[in-house]
Formats: sequence, structure tokens, C-alpha cells
Amino acid sequence: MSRVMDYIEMKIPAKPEYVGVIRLTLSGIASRMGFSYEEIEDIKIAVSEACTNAVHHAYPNDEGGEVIVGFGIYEDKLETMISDSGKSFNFIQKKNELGPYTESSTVEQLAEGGLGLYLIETLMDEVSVANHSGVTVFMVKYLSGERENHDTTISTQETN
Amino acid sequence: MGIDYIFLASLIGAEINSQVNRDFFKKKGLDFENKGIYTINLSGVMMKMNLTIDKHEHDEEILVLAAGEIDAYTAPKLREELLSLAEAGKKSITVNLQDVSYLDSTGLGVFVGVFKQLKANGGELRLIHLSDRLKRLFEITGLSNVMNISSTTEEGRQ
Repeated sequence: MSRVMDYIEMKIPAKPEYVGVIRLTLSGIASRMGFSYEEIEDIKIAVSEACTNAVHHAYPNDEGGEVIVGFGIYEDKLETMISDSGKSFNFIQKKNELGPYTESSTVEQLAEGGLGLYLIETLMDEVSVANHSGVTVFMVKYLSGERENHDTTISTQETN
Repeated sequence: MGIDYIFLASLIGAEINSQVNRDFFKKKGLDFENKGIYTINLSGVMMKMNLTIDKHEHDEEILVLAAGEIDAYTAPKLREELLSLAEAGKKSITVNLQDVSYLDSTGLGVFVGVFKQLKANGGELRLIHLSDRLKRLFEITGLSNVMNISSTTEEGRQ
């Protein structure tokens, strides 16, 4: 187990205009750690997807909530935590409802939303979700050569 | 490199109108006709943080130039623009994504929605000049099997 070298936390209003600000910060942190351009772009998408979910699902009525984003910086990996304290939704159920489109998908079958969870799972090395009073998504990206396998599975923890 | 990135991003955000900065970036072939927050990616390419949408009409066809980031904040604007074109009776919409520096599921959702709308009326949505990054997103999600997309690399080969 590698120990946390540094931890950075940001708290943003649950509004879509601040998701880009998280991406900007994340780019700085990830490039500082030595991630490649491609890897940084992947993490940017995964973290944005989680933030977008938090903004859209947790605060549907624009109640002015907050989203907390934490970056755990290790020697060999970046751990990101995105947490909202608003309404929780069933992440795994949502994930199972959605996935990549296939060649046999008809136009009517194409869903317009929800690919976000699929992208998080595809682009990150490890993902886990805790459903408590809100939803917290943990995701890990290893520095090149450090990861053990490419298959990402989402594990879930229920804490009440 | 990481430090340079943060420094430049904040410099540009704060002093976009400073003549010194304008001249510096103009020398690098970058121009700021539009105000806004700009960032520089790790390849040294200037990117707009917001989204601008330009339209060029030719009868029933329309070319839309999107530039900047398509995310949760900007996607609704893009959706509104494209759907209003579809509702105005445009059969064929071509979107040039050459200057789109960021795209996620919110943007993919917009294109799926517009694609369905046009298809239902016998029209067509074409996405052109996708970077390798963007093309990869369409491939990962399976959308490249369904939608009419073409990348910069493929076009170069033709």
C-alpha cells in the first residue's frame, strides 16, 4: 500500500459552470504527477462525469447544494473522490441500465443520457461508490505501468 | 510543466485584454478576437473554456462550427441551437468539431438527441473533423457504429 503524499480538496457550488473549474485544477494536479496527455484527458472526462452527476442528480431543484472534490496524490496513483450530500440515487442500477451502443441498436433505443457512468468505468482503473446520505464516487488512475489490470469494475458500499 | 500550465491558465484568465499578452500569443499564431477564459493544454494548444457556435446556411443544409468545451454547462446551449435548426426544417446538419477541445457524455447526449430528431424527419446529422480524442469517445460508446462521423486523420488520407 502506498501512503498518501498530499491531499487537495475543493468545494464547489452544485452548478454546471463550476465543473470546468474542477477540470482545470485536475489537469494541473495530474500533469504535476507525470500523467500523459491522453491519461489526463481520460481522467478529466471521468471526474467531470461524476461532478455532472452530482450536480444534476443531487440537486434537481436548484437548492444550492455543494459538491466536494478531493484529490489524493500518491507516488503511483491519483485517487479522486466526488461527494454530494444531497439526494442519493442508485448508481449501480443506473449503470446497469446503460452502456455502450451496439451496432444492433435501433435509433429509438439510443438513450440521450447516462453514458457518463459507463465512461467513468471505462476510463478509470478502479471505481467504487458509497451510497449514504448522498453519493460518493471514488476513482483511481495509476501512473503508466503501475496498473495491474485494465478491467474496471464498480464496487458498491451501502452505509446507513 | 504542470506549474507552467497553471500559471499560464491563470494569467490568461486574468489578463486577456492586456496588450503585452495579446502580442505574446499573437506571435505564436493565436488571436483573441473573442473575450473569454482561455487555457493551454499540454501540447501548447490554446483552448477556449466556453463554447462558441457559428452557423453557415446553404438552403436546406447547414454547417455549424463549434469551438471550445462541450460539457454540462455548455451542452444545453448547443442542444438548443441544433434542435432549433432541426425544427426550422433543416434536413441536413453538419457539425465541424475541429476546435472542440473537450467533450463528454453531456455533449454525446446532445448529438444523439439531434441525430434522432433529424432521422425521424428523413434528415441527417454529420459530425466532421473529429480529433483522435473525440473519435475515441464515439468508439468507446459505440456511437461510431450508429452515427455519421469522420475524423481529421481519415479526411487527410482521402
